[in-house]
Amino acid sequence: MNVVDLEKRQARGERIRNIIGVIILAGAFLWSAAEVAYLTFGPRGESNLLGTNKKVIRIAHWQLEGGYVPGLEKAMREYEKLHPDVAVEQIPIPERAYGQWVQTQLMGRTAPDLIEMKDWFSASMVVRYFVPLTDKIDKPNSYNDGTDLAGVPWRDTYIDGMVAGYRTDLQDYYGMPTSCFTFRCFANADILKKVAGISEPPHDLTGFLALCQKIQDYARDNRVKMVPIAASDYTAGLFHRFYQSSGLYPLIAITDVDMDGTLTNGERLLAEFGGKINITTDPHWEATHKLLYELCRYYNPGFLAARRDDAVFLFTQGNAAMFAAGSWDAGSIRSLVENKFPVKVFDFPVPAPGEKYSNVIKDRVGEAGMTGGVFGLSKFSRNPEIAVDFMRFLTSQKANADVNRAWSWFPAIRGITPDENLKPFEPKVEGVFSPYDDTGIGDDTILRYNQAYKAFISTIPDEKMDYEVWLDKHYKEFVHQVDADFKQYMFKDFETNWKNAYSGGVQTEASLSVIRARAVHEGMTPELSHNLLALTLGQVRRMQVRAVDWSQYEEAKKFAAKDEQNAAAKGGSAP
Amino acid sequence: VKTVTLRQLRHRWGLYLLILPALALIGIFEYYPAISAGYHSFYRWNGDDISEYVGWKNFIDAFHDAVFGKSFYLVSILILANFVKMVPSIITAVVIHRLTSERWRYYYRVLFVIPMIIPDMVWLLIWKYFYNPTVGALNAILNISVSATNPDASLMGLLKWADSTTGLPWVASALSPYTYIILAMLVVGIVLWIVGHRQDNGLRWFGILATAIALVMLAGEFAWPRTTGAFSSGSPSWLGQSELIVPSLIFWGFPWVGVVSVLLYLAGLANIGQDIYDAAEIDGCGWFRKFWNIELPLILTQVRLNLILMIIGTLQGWGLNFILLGDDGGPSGVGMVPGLYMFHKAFGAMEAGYAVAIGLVLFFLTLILTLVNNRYVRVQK
Repeated sequence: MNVVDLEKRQARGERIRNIIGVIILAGAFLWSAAEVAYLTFGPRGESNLLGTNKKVIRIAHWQLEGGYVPGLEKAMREYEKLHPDVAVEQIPIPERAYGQWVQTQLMGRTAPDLIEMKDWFSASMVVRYFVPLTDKIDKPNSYNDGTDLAGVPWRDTYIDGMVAGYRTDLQDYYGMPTSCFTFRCFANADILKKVAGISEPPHDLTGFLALCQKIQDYARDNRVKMVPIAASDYTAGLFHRFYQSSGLYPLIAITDVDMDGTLTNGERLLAEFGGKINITTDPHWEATHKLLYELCRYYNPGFLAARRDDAVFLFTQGNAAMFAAGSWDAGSIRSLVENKFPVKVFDFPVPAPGEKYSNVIKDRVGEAGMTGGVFGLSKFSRNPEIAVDFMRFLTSQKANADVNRAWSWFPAIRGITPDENLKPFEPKVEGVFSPYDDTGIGDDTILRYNQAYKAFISTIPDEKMDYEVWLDKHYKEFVHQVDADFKQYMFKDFETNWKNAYSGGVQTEASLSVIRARAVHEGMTPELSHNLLALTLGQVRRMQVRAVDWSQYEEAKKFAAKDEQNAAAKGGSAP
Repeated sequence: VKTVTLRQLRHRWGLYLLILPALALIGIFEYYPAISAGYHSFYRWNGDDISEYVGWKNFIDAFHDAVFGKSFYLVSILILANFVKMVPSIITAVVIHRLTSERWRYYYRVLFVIPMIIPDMVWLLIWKYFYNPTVGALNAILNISVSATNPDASLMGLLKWADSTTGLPWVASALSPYTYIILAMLVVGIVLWIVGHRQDNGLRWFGILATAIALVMLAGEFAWPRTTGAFSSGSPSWLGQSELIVPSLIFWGFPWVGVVSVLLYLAGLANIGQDIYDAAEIDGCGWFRKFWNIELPLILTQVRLNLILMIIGTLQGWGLNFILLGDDGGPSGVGMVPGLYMFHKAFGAMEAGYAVAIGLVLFFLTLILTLVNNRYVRVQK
């Protein structure tokens, strides 16, 4: 073969290789385009698996605890056996990214049918993207047929009347709870015995704080890596939630002007600007936050930068004497410490009468209405009826018992005997109840509160000063900062929330128009009538709440203006 | 520049057609979002259905927003720190370049490529573990004591002492006695400097040294103006206490030898011919003069490129702060950078209109800094 032939041959080979490359590239591009087109324009809500015509329900959650995913998977397969034309898929998302993921999916209209709801989902978000369920929950759950809950309205099959699914700010049911959650402390019994010579953890706050101090001293004197309480920003939040509810509950009697047991943003404004509460001098605020500061002294250093897993690791490795967690962690913690050390579970301690803080923190927080694991129905669900039906199945007496046993969680439905290991987590209904929240009412106030609170609890006491004097000074700096931020940003937050929630209501109005149009054209059916009534009632209730909220906002504005005038007359600026 | 006539364009239309898909993709995924951001920055927009025209309000709010303003304070510190952190990469590249063995030079280049395949998340976890106050390596190293009985005979003890000595009058309860010593040292140093300069003797150098030390210590006093007690427990919480967060972010990545930067500088250094070094040798240039007069000027193109990328990266970066401190920037929000605030507003507060306004402010700032960089960092060809 001569050189020219060889070159020709090489050129031909190169051409063929190029063509193959182009074919592969074009093939991949066309395949992707076809896949996207099919998913976008294809039959709505049908399986994307070729060759099947199943209706698909997608359920998103952030529960990555051991046992949750397989437990739900088993329930999904059982449901599919009952409904061979339905396929259920679950989408587990890590908790840290969950909020952003859900928001992006909702905005992109690609959200799953059922979405586990975070308690911070705002009214404007819920009203805009989730379906009100009030018209659905007063019908019996057919999956309970043959049990003692047969014929009982779905709502009443819950141990707390489905209260976690109700949004007071929207005056409608938007969520379907699946489990019941309580918070408890865990203690390493070996450490308690070794360091303090006790076999049971103390139930009073003074005893608890003394134990923490003893463990801290022991660790320092013996140079061992041990902390009294394993914490992360998440678990520290559990203490904060408990003690702020317990310590600030008397404030609800002052701030809840319509006495409906809830606190609206308008009521918060009135409280802040109308002179009902002065947080800078309020004894409940002071005692609660000082107690929270004291507790933080016994957490592992750097707990604010630690993750939930870090705290679990610290406790299960025997490097921490105690740990706070929800009942959802009970199963995984028990399995992690098995054969390592015995664990005692106990309630968050409250001060005994006459003890420090007992003038403010008088009782534990009642655990009525502690259902959680709430799933909402997305407005973009392609098969809303099937999605709700799946939730009915999941919250039927039998399925709820099975699934919660697999999760090691407390069931949300009446008549189920919980697992023996969960006995310490059984909800205790006696105690105080407070919806008063010391954080803000919208993004600007909440962000600033969180920044100030984190700085407050993470600052180390000045050793050159008397501790009590220093803590007093430190608390005052914190509370004045929070007060100034509240004064500056509360109105803005209120206005933003109010406007956004209103535009969500416009969407409901559009849904009502569709139902009315269908009634006109197709004739009024009992189902349409039921939906129309439920949606209208919800809308009317919301309008009423909004009107009251606005009048309280106007009132608070007047108070703020008066404060400014008074301050100007005195030659200073408004507080 | 060759001009393409319409006739040629018509003749070669097939070729121009080939660039259309790329142009379309750039248009859809780069320019359309940018134009949309510009448009929505004038709206109260939630990224979805709420869209109300508000004029310049988002920009005015941004300029009055204390959190946003404070985030620029942090980002300025980080840019300055990152500027200093560029030096180790340059030094490392020069040292590798000067290796006489070609084989060893190759091995070092390979060694610098290997870390590139390690995912960023692994680096992040390694550093997070390093800073862990309870089981982390940093506190363990700082706590190594030279005395079996005195734990304070360690670097941690030194930090504890330094922390306890600081205190400026406007932030601390009392002026630290050490501040008086530093001020006295500064005065003595300046006096010795002046006297030595007039008499033209060695006192001048003592004066310069004392002044320099006093100034460094005074800068330390300003950077760390009050006793925090952060080290008193022996296990400081590097990422959980407001005073330690910024130093921890600056120390992050020590010894700050950037893999890509070193390879870039090496590529630049490879272009310097041996004849230049030979000429420098004949002229009697030492190792520093070779670096200062030959190597550094000739890799200034790469330095400028790295500088621009560093400024853009620092101004727009937020992922590290988000993962380490959450979207509120940690205690007192000290870890809040503009990018993180933009993310928080877009995905936490659903104030997408405000977030894109922040994004545009960042864009113009980056543009200005890049133009300044191009204008004033001159490259010797």
